[in-house]
Amino acid sequence: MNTLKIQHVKDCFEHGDQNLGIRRLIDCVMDTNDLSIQQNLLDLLDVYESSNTIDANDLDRLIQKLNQYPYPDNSMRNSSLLEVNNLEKKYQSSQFKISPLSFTLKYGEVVGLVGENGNGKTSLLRLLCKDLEPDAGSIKYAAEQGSKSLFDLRSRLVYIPQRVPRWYGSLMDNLHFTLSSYGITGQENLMRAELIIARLGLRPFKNHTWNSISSGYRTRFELAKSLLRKPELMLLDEPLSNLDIISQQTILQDLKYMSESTTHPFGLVLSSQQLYEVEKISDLVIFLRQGEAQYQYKNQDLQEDQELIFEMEIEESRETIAKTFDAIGMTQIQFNGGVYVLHFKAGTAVNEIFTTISEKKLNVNYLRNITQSSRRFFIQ
Amino acid sequence: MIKKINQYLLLNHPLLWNIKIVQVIIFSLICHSFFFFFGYNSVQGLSVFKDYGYSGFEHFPVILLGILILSLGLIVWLIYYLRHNAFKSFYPVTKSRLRKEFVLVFLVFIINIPIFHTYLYARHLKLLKISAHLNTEEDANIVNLAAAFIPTSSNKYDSQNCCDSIEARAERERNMPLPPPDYCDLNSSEPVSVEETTAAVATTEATTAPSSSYSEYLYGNYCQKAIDQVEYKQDALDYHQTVKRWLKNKERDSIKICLQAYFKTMDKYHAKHNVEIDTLVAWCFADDKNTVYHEVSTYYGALQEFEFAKMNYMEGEFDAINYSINNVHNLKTEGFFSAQQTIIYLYIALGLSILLILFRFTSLKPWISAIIGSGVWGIVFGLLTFTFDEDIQYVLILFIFVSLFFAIQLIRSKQSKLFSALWLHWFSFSFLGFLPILTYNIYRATGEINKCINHVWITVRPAYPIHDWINSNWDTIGLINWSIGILVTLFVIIPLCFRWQANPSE
Repeated sequence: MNTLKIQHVKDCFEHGDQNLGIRRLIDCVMDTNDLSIQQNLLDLLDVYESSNTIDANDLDRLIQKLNQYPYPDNSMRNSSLLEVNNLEKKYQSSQFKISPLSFTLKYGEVVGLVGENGNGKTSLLRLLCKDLEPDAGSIKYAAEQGSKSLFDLRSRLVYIPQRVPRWYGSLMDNLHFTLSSYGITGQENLMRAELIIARLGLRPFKNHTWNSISSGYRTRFELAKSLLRKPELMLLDEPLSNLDIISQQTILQDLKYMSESTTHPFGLVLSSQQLYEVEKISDLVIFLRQGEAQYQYKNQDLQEDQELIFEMEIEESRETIAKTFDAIGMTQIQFNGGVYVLHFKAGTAVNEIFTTISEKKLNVNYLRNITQSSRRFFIQ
Repeated sequence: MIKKINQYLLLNHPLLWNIKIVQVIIFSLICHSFFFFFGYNSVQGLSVFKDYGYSGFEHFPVILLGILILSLGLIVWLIYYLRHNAFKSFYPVTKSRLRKEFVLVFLVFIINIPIFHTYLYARHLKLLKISAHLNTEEDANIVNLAAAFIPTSSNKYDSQNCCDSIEARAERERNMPLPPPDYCDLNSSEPVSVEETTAAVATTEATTAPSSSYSEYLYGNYCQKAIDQVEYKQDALDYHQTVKRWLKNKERDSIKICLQAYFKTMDKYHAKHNVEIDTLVAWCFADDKNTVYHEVSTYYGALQEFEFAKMNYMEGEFDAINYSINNVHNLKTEGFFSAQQTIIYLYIALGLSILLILFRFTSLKPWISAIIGSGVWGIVFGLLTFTFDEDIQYVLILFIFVSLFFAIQLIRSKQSKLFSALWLHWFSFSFLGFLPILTYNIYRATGEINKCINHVWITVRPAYPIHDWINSNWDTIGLINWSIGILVTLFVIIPLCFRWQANPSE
């Protein structure tokens, strides 16, 4: 696993993708407990920050050290972390309930929760972090085996609410306090805090205060603090809501990478409105409507009787669209949020649609196959 | 330096860093030093002994200043201490870590609260220093002998107060009328405590004591010890014999020397006077019987502004010299630290620590609700007291156990977090009352029982040994209760808080 990671780092630098190369390099270094390797990386980063270049020799030496580092066998990866069976929760006051819901999560996997507001995403996250007691069903955690008490278990499940609680005092002090509370002391404490802020692109802000950074960076600092806690299960409620569009994809991809850590893999459950961004990294997307779940697994096989659904932003009128696509088996057309959603009968080839668009010279601005996307669940 | 220590604590000992132990110690050192300096310099000379007391209102501004400084310090400390809470953030915290935090909070309180005590201790040291050269036994001897020749009150020279000789005094005591029996009402069969009986006797004596018949006031009748707190070799009778001998033999020079020594002692203690020794000696021999015709005032300067009083008026701080010698003697013989004061500080620190850790280990809503709720319980118990008199004590004990039961039950069954925390808070606020209530009831139940038989109170059952033990060991009981308070907090309240925090909120 780590050989692949190190190869990925090399590839990134070879192809000039220094930004990703450095982030992946930090991942590799964070998987080690070697302070000298960590110090070498920080020196490298200091040079990079001041000159925007990486000394190839230094990089080679560091990669060589990483290659020689005895990473432990990653036996946890791909083992079950969480098993949710027929989970139910009712709220007496609002009549809202989460209907029986089941799924499993392995270390290094991501589950995305999508759905409109007020449909149970936050409730599900709170159930998973033991902040709510289910009315029926069960949640089994792998972490339960090593936990002495419920508190001990909850300390392994890190939940970040949508509204990040305010930090007091210096940002770095908060990170150091978190680390020392987890028994990481002395020099290692200093190193780990530096590495995580470098990993999340927070180095320029490390001397700032909570009030002087934007809400996006506050979310990143909160993520940094949570990652330092070495969680087994990380539960994020709308982590992308405060981030800009570029950062959203970067942060999600970074979280996915870090969840696949060699020494400390973790599972990730996150809720978001950024459907396509979440889908990209999720192994399972759960769509919640009125507490009822629909599941979309990654690389799920297309069923024979499953209709083909396309999302299309097009300048032509509804009549033109209907006339054009009826010929190739369109069964339904819906106008939804500025785009048309076209349903085709099962067995329709994707190529036929592209060919029709090309032949009829339709002015299509945007086209997406949502047959295997949870986007289709949003369409009534 | 401080920054480096804090950085070290942050990286290696997060609990000590979070509790701001360095800043607390520095604050404490500064406060104690300031109050020590203040206390040490508040004593300027021996005149302080003339009106010397530890618990008077003279220290009120200092107490107020201490409370103000401590309150400000507490607010600033809380702002920093409450910034980070590893427990509520679900960091891997153990019960023993919470116990350590409680102990540290307690230490923070106990090292800071007694700053007023530091002020008093500094005064005590200064007073010891400035009185080191004084020989109170010698001074008291001079004062006791000379007091006979300083007529501050005619009554002291009444023949009723004379003791003539040991035999005469014994004879007079034998012939003193017995106090009347402690009459009681036959209709009342209520047992009365020893204290009440004694008080009744004292009242009867006071009302039935024979009034002294008038007699001439003679110097030779004086038989008192002006300073009676200091234990001296000589009895009042010894002084009396000497005085009588001097008067009988007309030893004016002896009296004069005695008075000279007395006023020198007054000067030593900064006690003011404007007395002419020769006049005083002359007063003693105004007639053959040594009758007392004049008095001196014990308030120096009281009538200075009145022109007419100036001519023949003699006055001095005669009571003040007596106080001074007694005070110096007490200062030198009694220790500064008392168990009672220590226990008071321990209880204040424990109470504040419990209040703070409940806030820290639970949450604001139940904490505030519990405090308000305690007020409501207080009103309820107050109303019950009016209705059921003393039986309410058992209701209080019952309340302690009921609140503990509900706290455990609700927390274990993961029921409502608000109500479970409320009961836990109420138990924490009330459990310290258990032992005192229990002990007081045992004390009352095991006391002497008196019954009214033939109009006289008769003791029908003597007090049990435990009654006397309790009566003389209230400090020990207070200390035991405090120790139980610490143990209950560490091994009952903190584990319940730990479990409560892990419970789901709904």
